[in-house]
Amino acid sequence: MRARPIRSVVVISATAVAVGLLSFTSQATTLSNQRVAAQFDALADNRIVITRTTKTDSIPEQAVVDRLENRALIGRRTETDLTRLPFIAAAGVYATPGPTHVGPIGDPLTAIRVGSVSPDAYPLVARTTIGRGITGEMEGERVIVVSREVSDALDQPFRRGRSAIFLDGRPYVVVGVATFDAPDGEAWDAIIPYDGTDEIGGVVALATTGMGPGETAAVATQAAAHASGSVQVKVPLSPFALRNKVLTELAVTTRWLGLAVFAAATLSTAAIGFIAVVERRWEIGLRRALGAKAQHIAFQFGGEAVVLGLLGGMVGAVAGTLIIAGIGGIEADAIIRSVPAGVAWGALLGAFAGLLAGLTPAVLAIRVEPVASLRER
Amino acid sequence: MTDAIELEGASRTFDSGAVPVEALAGVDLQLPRGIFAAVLGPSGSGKSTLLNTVGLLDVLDRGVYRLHGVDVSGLTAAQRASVRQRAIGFVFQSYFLIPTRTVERNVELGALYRGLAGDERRRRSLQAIEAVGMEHRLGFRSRTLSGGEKQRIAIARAIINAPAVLLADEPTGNLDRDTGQRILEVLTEINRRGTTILVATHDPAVAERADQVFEMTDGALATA
Repeated sequence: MRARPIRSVVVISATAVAVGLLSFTSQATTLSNQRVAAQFDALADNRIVITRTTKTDSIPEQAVVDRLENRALIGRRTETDLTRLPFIAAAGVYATPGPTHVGPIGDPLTAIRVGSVSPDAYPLVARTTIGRGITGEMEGERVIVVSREVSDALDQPFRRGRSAIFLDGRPYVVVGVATFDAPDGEAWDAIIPYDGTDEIGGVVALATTGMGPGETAAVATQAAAHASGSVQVKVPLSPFALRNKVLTELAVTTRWLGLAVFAAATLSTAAIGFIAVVERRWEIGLRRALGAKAQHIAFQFGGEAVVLGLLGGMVGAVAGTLIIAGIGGIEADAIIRSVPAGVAWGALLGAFAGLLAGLTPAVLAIRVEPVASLRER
Repeated sequence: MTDAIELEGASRTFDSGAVPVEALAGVDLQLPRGIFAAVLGPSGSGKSTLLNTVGLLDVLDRGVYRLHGVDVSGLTAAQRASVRQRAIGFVFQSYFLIPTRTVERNVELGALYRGLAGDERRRRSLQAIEAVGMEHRLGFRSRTLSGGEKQRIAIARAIINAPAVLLADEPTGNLDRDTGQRILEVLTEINRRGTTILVATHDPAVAERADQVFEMTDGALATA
């Protein structure tokens, strides 16, 4: 065992752990933010999404064309299925890429505009149209089809699914650029980006209640009660469920971060233990010459790590409590009550970390040959 | 009465290099109890290996080693450590004191692994320090001592357990002539109290003090 190579390995390892930890915390925070944001987005969405769960009859290509010409997107049978459900405002049909398949359905007075957009249909969209994707990779995302004029004005080479535009501070993923006026000259309220993976005949319907999230959930529950086995009702998230989901997300993230920090600290302690063994080889050899057995040496290095870890854990627990109390404005009585348990846990955790960190250096120490180590000195 | 140290056909070969080195080549040695013996020889002749073997820090490849009549050739590492705790003291050329510790704590280290109570260790430590005439340095950290003082503290550490055998590897090697003489006086006094001493040295002055002198050449031992 040579001191310099081991030190180099220790330094490289410590740096790798530090940088890795930074990268991990950064990415974990981003991931957590995205998940929490998705929960809030789900709460903000007060629409009920109703999806057929069974495959409907394939629609012959000619039939699609016929219906497109008639601006009718829902086959009679499907329409019947949907109208059995309350609160259905509009529906759209998935189709293979074709000329067009857009338009409002249902009662014009209450309808929202639903478009099932394939890339070939983008030219038929009249103007900048926003909505929310409800299938494929765009599910839940705010999506936009921009007009050619907008595209030209912004001088942006839009890429489908890659570019985004901010409207009122909200990002919208660009799913296409329109070049011609749409037949109805209307904007859609929802867009179903067609990614070519869904089967012909899949039916998606949207119901807009115009109510708050809680009432929407209640309506969705009613809709679900009316739904047959072939239709699935996706109930919007309730505020209470959102609260629990957000708390879970935050708890998971902070625990992972805590675990990563704990692992890094343990590795650092182990690295210091390695260095100590390297620098004290002659002392180990001396102690062996004076009658120390392997267990004495192991206990010296392992025991030192455990005791130091225990002390560090206690100090860390108190420091952590005080810092949180300072940040959170917690009352002194509450702090005093929580300190004993915190110190006990800190000591236990610190001792455990010390044990983990001290094990390998201890094994390294008992392998030191006394004759060789004394001769090196 | 059995000899303090008895080696029969003791051999030790090291294979670490390209060519195996026979550090001990069938050494026979009998040292009566209470003798002051010295082993002379050039560097690399096998003196340190002989001391390490007699001190049970190293083991023989072949041959028999009896310590006070007991065959210790086949002891396990833990058993050898136990024998070292009770029966053997070491003095090294480089002293091997822990620089940040005080004189008495360094000496106590010699009795640490015998399971003695702290008070008993301190009592023995003071006794050993007095025996080498270093009581005036109590409380000093070992890094502040001179070379001769360090060696005397190292000797105190070696005798704290009243070992039957004291092994010294070049104990005067790092010291000037006068200081070396004083160390020899300390060793002679310890020997006078009944401790068997075996010294590996280049120093003719040590050989002059010894009751018996051996010469070691290429792992072979002969009476000088």
